[in-house]
Amino acid sequence: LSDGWRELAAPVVDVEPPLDLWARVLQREAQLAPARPPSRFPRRGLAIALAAVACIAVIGLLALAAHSRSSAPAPANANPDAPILGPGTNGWVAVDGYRNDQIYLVRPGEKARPLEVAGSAGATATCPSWSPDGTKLLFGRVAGASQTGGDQVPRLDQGLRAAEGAGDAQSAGDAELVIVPVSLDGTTGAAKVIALHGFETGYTAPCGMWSPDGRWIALAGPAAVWVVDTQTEAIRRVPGLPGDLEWRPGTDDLAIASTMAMEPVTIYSTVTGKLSRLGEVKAAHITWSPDGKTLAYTGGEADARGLWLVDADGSNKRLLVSDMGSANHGIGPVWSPAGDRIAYQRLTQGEEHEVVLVNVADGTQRTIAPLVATSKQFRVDRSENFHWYPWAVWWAPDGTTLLYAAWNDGILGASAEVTALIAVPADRPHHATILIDGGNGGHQWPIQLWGRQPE
Amino acid sequence: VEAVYRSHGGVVWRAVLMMAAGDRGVADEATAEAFARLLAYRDGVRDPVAWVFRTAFGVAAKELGRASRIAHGILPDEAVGDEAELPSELTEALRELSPEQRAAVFLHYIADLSVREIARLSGSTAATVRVRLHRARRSLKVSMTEGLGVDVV
Repeated sequence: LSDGWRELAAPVVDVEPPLDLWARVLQREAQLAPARPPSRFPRRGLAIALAAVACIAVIGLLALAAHSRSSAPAPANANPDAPILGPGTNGWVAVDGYRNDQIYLVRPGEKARPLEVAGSAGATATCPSWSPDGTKLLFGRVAGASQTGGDQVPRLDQGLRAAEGAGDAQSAGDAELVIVPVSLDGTTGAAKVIALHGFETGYTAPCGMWSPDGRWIALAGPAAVWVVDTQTEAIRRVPGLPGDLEWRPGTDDLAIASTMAMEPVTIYSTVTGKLSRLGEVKAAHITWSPDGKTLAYTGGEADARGLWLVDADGSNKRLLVSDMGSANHGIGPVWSPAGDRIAYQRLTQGEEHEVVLVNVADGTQRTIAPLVATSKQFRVDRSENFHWYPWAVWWAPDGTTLLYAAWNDGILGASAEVTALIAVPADRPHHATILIDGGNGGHQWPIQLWGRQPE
Repeated sequence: VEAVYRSHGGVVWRAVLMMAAGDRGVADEATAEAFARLLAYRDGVRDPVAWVFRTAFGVAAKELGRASRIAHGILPDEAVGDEAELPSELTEALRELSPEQRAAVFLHYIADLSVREIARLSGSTAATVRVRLHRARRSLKVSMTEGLGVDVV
């Protein structure tokens, strides 16, 4: 925005909140306090009695658990109806943004475990992505940029005073890609680190996407697509304003949709090093069919709400869904590994979200109702239930289960973090499993959080 | 919590003030409510700054008439009333934006935060924030170059 606008908006920096605002905070907090559970038992006798009952219950539960273990192997997931990350996967989901700006490995029924990689302490690690063969984990790392994590909070007031003259891009530290072997039990091997000199991390995180054969990694920068050869560590920069990237299955071709669909979709060939247009297709979000023959896209300025299909050579454009709703979402449509369905996330009233499954054969749609989050899950002292709303959605490798990056509307009363990664069976969504709470739903591309089974 | 209030309370309040197009009553109420809830529920909150921003935005959105008005980017007339805190030229321009766009514009262009940081604070995605900023720039360009004679690029 111009200096003229900044001048016009300057008064908002000069106005001050009322002097008694903190007193109002304390007053309001006092009204909320009775809703919290009492911190002490009112009478010592009652406390002793309840403690005795609790001890008996715990002993009983332990005995029951011991009996269960002796008669059958413990399930990986406490919920027998919930998906087990077994068939077609390496057993792990990798997440970032959980705590301390590090990568964590997650599986149902177990605590999240930090990915142990040398050099990550004090840096921000983000965008984990499993290699196509499920044996290596890629993530982006920015040295000296972890001011947003842990107890260190950004100094917004400093930013206020330094607003004049600030640009869009800010260099927040040296970016690099890290590739680390991960065994089935979650232990890590020696990491390969590839420096990304000149990558502007203030605008976008280094989110790499593996090519289908695992040789190349593509990531979007503010003014170019970076294509990294993992064998030679050579880096190519393809000029443009990337908005969405998608490797074409079975090839080393990368489809590039420009920011806000300003330019037609282009195809970058790692073999020839050349760019070609995919006809006149303009799109903000793209996804390939698993056979690589068809591209689904949406978000073009002429038709922002339609979901279209086009052949890989740019011909045979056809409309699949006329109105996907508001497209202000994270990663756009994602084609199922089985090829029969496309999932997408859309805004509903306000800032709520839902997932829709489209049958590719006939365009029919099925909405997955918001998942109910019980108050018990969030330790809130209220009886009503809340809902999980997906920011973004991915498919599991076997195509039966969706992975939600979700938030819930209990924020106005919940005492827990309100984001989560949730495994949702596509055809039995009420059997969802919360894998972790506190995950980061902010990814822009369908990076592979869910590891495939190694061959 | 008090330390978070001292370091960030003013920014939260100003962000909500922008979101409410200058309605001081909404800014006061949403900021006080957010910090009060942070005090009440602080034990389970891992990221208090992001939590308090999101809660303040949520409370403000409800105060502003919520779902349908937000979906259409319409601010109720009473929001710019006797309690309006900002110059009329600014509030007129802000009324062309949705509440989320106003908050994003403030955090990016005035508070100088990155798109990714705004996404974290507002409980949204970087892509969504970029779209909000893009559309806000487009709306401001139209409203301010035609109506106010201010050059917005």
